[in-house]
Amino acid sequence: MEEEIYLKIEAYLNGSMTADQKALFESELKNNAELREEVAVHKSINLHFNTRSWDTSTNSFNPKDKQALEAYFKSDEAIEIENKLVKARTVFIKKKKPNFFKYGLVVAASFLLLFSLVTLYGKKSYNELFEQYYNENELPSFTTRGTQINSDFDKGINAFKKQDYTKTVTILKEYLNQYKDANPIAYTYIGMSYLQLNQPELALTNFDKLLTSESIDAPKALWYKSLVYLKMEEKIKLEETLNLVIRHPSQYKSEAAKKMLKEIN
Amino acid sequence: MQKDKNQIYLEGLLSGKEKIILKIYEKNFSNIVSYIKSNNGTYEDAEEIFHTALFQLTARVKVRNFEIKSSFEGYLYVVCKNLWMKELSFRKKRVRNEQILELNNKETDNSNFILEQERWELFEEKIALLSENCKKLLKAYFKKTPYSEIVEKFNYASENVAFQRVFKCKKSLAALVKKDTRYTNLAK
Repeated sequence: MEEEIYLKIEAYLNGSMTADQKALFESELKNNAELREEVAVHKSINLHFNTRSWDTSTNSFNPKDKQALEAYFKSDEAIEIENKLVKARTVFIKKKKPNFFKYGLVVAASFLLLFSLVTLYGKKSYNELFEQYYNENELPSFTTRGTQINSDFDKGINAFKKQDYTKTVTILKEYLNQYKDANPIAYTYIGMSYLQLNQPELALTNFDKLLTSESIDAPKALWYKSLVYLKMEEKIKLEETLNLVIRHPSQYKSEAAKKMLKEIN
Repeated sequence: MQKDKNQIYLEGLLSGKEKIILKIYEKNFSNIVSYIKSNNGTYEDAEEIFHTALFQLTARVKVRNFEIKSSFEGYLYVVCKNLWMKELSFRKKRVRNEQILELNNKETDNSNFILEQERWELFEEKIALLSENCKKLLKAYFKKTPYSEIVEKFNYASENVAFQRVFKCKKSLAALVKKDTRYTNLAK
């Protein structure tokens, strides 16, 4: 494919052609199967890299493939499997709900206790605030309790849960080096481990890597950086970072950031 | 070992064995809940997405002769993430009323998604075959990094050189994709 054609395809796909250029290009498309194929593949490439734009309605598939799948979904066999899946899901959710209620009570009790402490003793120290805002359970995770560890990532998370932070860093660094598709969430755990190991600068470096990654969790890095500055008691940087959290379009932890800003001032 | 475990899960799913399905939930569901809740979703959304992913997986195995090449957990996580991205995209369009949304039945939605997921996996596989430099360059390009910054980051002589490199990388990727019969078979 020539560069000139590539430029036209890009202009067509990103909508930057004039009405006349577009009409001309579309008439070329009608008569040129090779060009149609190029446009289709470039459209798919663009969509693929833009992970937030999942939209099957814009893509066409082989009708035979679609029909075979649709026929399966309508079959008695599929309906039976779905019914069994629904039944298992109901059993699982019923079993889990009391736990959520229990945890809800614990959380409520913790808030009450914290509220009482604040009322009694006034302004909290940075250390107390860190304890209040840092919640290990809010970190994204791939493993559940009591299960066998299967992947390298899981091993790293498991080490983190066992509070073996040095091991966490070693395993997850290796995981990030080894796999092309390594989940950038690993930077979260490496960063938090460094924070626990009293190496805040390295924690910040790793949160910056998460922040500049393609991960959907990237914006969370700003909040994690706030926690580092909170622990380091660096008020100016903490305020700056909290303001970034508040202004970020993801809104992740923006309310918590507003609250923390009030509490440190 | 990994293959055996994947096989146990897949067979359990296809035969509807409650014990195995519950094990899959025990091992994976909380991660999906965390992911969806931290991406503008609710616990109920996670329930729905997780269930859909499992149901679609049975169809992939039955109709598409699909085998999980990585870990079962990894596969399920990626599918749930992509399903949730699609759902968010749909909801966003519905709120903004950007376009007339085609309301399909469940069978069509499930079938479309399976084929889209297959195409997604194919592209991931082809991207992995590109040079490290191309991968990084395309990532930067699609992150809308200005050419001036790309020049600096990749030590190129000029913006024109940067453009040429992006063009070549995309061209290589397009060629790899087109050469694969799965791509041709997936498209009309």
